[in-house]
Amino acid sequence: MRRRLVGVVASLAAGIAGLGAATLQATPAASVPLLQIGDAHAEFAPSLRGNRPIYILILGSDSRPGTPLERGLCDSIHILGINPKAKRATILGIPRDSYVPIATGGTNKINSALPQGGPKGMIDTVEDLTGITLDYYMLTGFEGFRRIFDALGGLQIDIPYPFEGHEFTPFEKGRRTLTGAEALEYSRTRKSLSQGDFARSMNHGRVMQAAFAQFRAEFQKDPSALFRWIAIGSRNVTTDVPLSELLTLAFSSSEINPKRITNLVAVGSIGTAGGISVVNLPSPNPSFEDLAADGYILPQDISAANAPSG
Amino acid sequence: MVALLAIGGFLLFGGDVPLIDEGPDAPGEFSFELKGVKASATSHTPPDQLRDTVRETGTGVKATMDELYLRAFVDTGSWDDYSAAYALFDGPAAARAERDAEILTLGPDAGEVYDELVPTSNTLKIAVLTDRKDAPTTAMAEVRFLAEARRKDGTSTQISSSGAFFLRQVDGVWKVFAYRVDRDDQAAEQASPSGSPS
Repeated sequence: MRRRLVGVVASLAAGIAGLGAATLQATPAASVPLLQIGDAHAEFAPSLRGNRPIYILILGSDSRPGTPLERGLCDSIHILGINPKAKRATILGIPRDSYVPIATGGTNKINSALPQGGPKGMIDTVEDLTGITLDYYMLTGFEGFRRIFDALGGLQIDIPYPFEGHEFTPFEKGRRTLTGAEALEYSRTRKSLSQGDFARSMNHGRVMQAAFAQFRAEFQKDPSALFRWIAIGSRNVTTDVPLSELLTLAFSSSEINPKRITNLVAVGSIGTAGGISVVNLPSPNPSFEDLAADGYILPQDISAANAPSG
Repeated sequence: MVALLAIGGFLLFGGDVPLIDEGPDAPGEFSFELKGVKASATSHTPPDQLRDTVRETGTGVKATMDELYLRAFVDTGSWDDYSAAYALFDGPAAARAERDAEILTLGPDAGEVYDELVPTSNTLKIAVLTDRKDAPTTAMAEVRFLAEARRKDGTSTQISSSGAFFLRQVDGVWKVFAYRVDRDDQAAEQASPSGSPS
């Protein structure tokens, strides 16, 4: 994994909104106020430097309480690409059953790379598969995931279609606020979805999109939200992102309109290997190549096979 | 001269950390009224074990913000040269702050327009982000600054500056590396019925 230091050298990240300078305007002498000096706004924040995209591997482990996260199978695997110059991002899910060469040896389902080689084994496997050099990783598990959204006061998410969770929670279509436990059930449910694990991976991306939008809205309303989100996240996520870089990432992320974040899942054909059901990803894979090129995939560039549906 | 020392404070998380607050300001001095200091911990350390760290950070951040608003608004001697204010910004934020002078200071022509500025209501809230080893890494100062600026033509202007400053420690001094500030100035009064803006 390339451990580049994305400098926290700021660029002109946030523009001046509103008036750049005070304006002076005379009003009738009898009225109060007599002068309207006006309102103005100035804003500056450090941003990710340059044109290079940032790639973060976001992992969800199915380890049970009391078991280290690295021991669990990695049932949620996503690459978050951020292009700071284009102010675009993409969340690309990789099916957990993808049958791929594992960096630590052999060929197996990709979710076994975590227990076999820890985060480094997972990173190396994904890099070998996609050709994308990952900058950082973030890893959480069931409990950490649940605690994050409970601490944040819930997850506000747009649910595109109704389904029943695996613990029988009805997830109705529309905008909902989910508790930590509900967000976890929403993310874990697979069997009641028409496209199974592909649809579940799409839902993982939707959770990330929703969290991103929620952070952005809260940060714009109250700048102290930045610290709250970072503190809550740091307490529940294992990551190699330095805190200073996390701040820069957060500032940069706040500049990206959630509508400019693409969510998709790499698709493949269903097959079997050694008697177990697996996903065979095409090679070369256009989604991996597109994301590797500039850190994002435009909605119009998503092939029909990758289009979000379930 | 600082006239009084008072302890104001509350509890961490659910309250804030006590800080020594300065009393009324002598001419040429300025001090925000501190409304609280809070910690955001990235570790699982119990909040009460962070109080000393947070208190020390809050003191340093308050000193920077007091100095910034003194040099950017209150001190008439700085109105022709705000370099002492810009020195409290770090890295690229310093250059950007100079370009935002109209908003971050009383203005480049303040010495020609105003005679004096009297702070009326000013509050400061501080948040401190600590790292996994419980060291303070970043602070946020949320300010609300109101003052009356008396113009040379006899009128006065209500100065309002509010927003958030993000600070990090540079060579022992807390300096601003990011900010989001609003200005909303209003005319407060007029010397004569026929007065007009200069």
